[in-house]
Amino acid sequence: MTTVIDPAALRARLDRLGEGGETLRRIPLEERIAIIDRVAAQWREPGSPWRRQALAALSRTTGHAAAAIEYALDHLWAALTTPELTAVASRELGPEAGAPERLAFHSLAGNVPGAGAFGVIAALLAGVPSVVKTARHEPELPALVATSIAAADPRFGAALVVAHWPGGSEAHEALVVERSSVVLAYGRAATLERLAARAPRRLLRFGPRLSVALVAREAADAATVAAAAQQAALFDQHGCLSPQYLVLEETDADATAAFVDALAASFRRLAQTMPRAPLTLDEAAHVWRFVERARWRAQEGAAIRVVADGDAGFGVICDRTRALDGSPLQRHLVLLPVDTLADTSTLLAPLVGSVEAVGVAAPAARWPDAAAVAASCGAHRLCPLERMQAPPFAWRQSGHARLASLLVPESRDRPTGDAPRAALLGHGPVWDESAVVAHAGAPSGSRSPAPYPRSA
Amino acid sequence: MYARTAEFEDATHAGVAPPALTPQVIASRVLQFIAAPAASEFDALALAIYAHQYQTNAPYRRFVDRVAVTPHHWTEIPAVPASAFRDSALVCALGARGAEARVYESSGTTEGPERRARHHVPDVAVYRAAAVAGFARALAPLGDGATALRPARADAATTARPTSCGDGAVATRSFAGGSSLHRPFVVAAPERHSHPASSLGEMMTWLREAYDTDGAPSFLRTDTLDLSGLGDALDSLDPARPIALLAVTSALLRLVDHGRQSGRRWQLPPRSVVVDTGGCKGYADDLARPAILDRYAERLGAAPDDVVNEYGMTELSSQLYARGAGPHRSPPWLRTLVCDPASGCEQPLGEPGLLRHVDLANVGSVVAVQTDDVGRAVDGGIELLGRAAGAVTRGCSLLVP
Repeated sequence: MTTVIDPAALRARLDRLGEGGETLRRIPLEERIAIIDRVAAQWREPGSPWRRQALAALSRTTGHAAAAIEYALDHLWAALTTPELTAVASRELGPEAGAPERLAFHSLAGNVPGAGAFGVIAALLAGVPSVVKTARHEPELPALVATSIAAADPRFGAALVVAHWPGGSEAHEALVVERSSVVLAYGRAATLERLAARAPRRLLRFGPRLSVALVAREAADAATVAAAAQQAALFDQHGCLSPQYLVLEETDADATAAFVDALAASFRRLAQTMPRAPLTLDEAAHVWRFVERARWRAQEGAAIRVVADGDAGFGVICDRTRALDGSPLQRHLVLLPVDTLADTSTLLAPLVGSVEAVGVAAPAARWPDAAAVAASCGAHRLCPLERMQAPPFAWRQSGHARLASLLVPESRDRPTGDAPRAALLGHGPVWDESAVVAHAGAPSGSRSPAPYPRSA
Repeated sequence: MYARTAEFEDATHAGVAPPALTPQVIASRVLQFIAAPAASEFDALALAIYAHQYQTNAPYRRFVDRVAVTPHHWTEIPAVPASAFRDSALVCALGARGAEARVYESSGTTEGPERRARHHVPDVAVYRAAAVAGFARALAPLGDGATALRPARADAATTARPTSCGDGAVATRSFAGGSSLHRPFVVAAPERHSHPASSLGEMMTWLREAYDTDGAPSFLRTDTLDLSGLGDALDSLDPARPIALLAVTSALLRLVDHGRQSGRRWQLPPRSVVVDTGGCKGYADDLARPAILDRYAERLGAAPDDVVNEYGMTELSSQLYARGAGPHRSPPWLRTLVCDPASGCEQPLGEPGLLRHVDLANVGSVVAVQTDDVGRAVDGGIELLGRAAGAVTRGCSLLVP
């Protein structure tokens, strides 16, 4: 049972956040980074009590498999190291940086364990005290994170309030939005619109988006298949970094069929090691509707192939009709064969503005092609396919600079002559640079294609 | 589920699918069933219709072959997803000789006209019979019309004239305190002339032809709802003449809003009945049924027991009706299963699932339709819970509806 904070208690805690914010801003940036690094190290320790509690809580609240939760926690805290935080801070919080916002309100979603955590950490680094509303279905990890941060440094704890109240509660949200200078809203469009209707001073929308995997023919191998299935299976595609479409640069129809079969086999294996969370009736109905329509269209001659298994909880839909009917999520990957990656921009044109990340499996020489695709569909992140669900702290989530978006716009936007900062606030996709370099140097760029079994 | 919600004797399993009959024979048998339902014949007739459709409806045959099921009981008849009506012409190759055909279209506009469901009805007489007889049953006194005919009740039928669809045993019954079905209709719903592709519009027209004594025009035109005209019409009712107010739910809710804003209330004459349909589609708020009934009571003076809700869909030829806040009940020629979307299996009593209809009146298209309407089997019928949302409940991954 999630405890709902009383509005009066919330008001009292907000009253104290002002002082907490002043204290927070007096901590030097390097020390703030060191504190977060220390917290992250504690979470990463084998036997960490925080991690143990989080695993137990998230298994209960999200229904996700332990393997998925461990993946989320591992990559969340692995991204919060001094070098990574320092790099982002040096880009976004340099000497010319503006003043931090007075108070941030984070309205979290419960779709992916740790979703929104980067925003809360970013606020602390930027010197912005925060009030965090937890999601109805996942109230526990944010509270654990806050507790661990407060335990590491009480000054951070004094700048952070984590609480729960029913979404839309007038008594709570009117108060919090009125007090906040910036609102970070995660979740469904209806949630975002509800908060927008309260006319916050600034609203950073982290709304529904999807991601796309690109596979060059040179990289259409077993490792790529396994990575694609894993990235689609993690969190059952509930996250904006979840691939819903996989664009495959086709060698020939047989190879594509074999790729589909291999994907299905990977999903079947994942059903054993990382089973899908139970579906709600609505989710199950949506899957049924989508799969049955695809099967019907295939039956009636459309160039569609469906490999779906309700018991194993997945589906692979190879669709040559270019209808872009979306995915029903819940481990249903829509595979779109193309002749060349260059065709992809046209194919994905209807998705412009909806794409969060493009994950790529390609030799290094093909990455410029992938980057062009990512730019053309307005993606905010370009990364190796196998790291789609492991974003770096620098990820410009939904297009918002991680730290700079928490600075007062009037001060942040004054001319500085700082070209990189201007680019930072622009709209091109951000590369996961270290990951890209690692990927380009890895054997995957020159692997022999298709070592998985071909269908007869 | 059905066995718990209506009374019937299960037919003996056929063992093998019966041979296909001619369209004329099939249509004739369905019309006979509608006129004089016999629960023990439902299974055999459903299987005969299935066999006919397998032989003469090419997309359906491909579907059955794909799912590789040979039904031996009506519950096993492969049910096409309702979305298939958007992608294919699901029609038997030949209707009955001389039959009048129709193609009805759904009103869905969010996905564009090309994605509307189209229900091909090669013999509209069957649809007409089902619609008119189903309406008559629904408006019979509570506990009478919604169940299969039973001799004790049949003896209590009044002597009003039978309708032309051959459902006299039902249509002559009284409703709403003993009044005849024949009465003035006040209508705010589609009709054939204003909405020629609407199956609801066609049904409304038939109901008026059968029972409306006055024939006043509908206040729902092609694109507009004449709220003030509807309000004025209700103002000018003769208190001695009970009416039937037939309307889409959104129109009545807008009338209620109009009344609240203008301070107007209406009082329907005693023994009047309100029949609404369509849920809150087209209305600003998604209200639960009790809230809708409260509003009708507040502004129309209609007690919940005088309100009947119709549930139908373009892809079906028969309708379910609910009185007040009670469950929806099928006529004898329509049976409904509540199914788990993941397994396709029937849900236990009280568990929500997707509705699967086996509608004998769908004789010229497909007899079994799997919808994504959500409901649960309850004592006495089906409690409708809306449509499966399609929206992910926990997430910010973009979901295309």
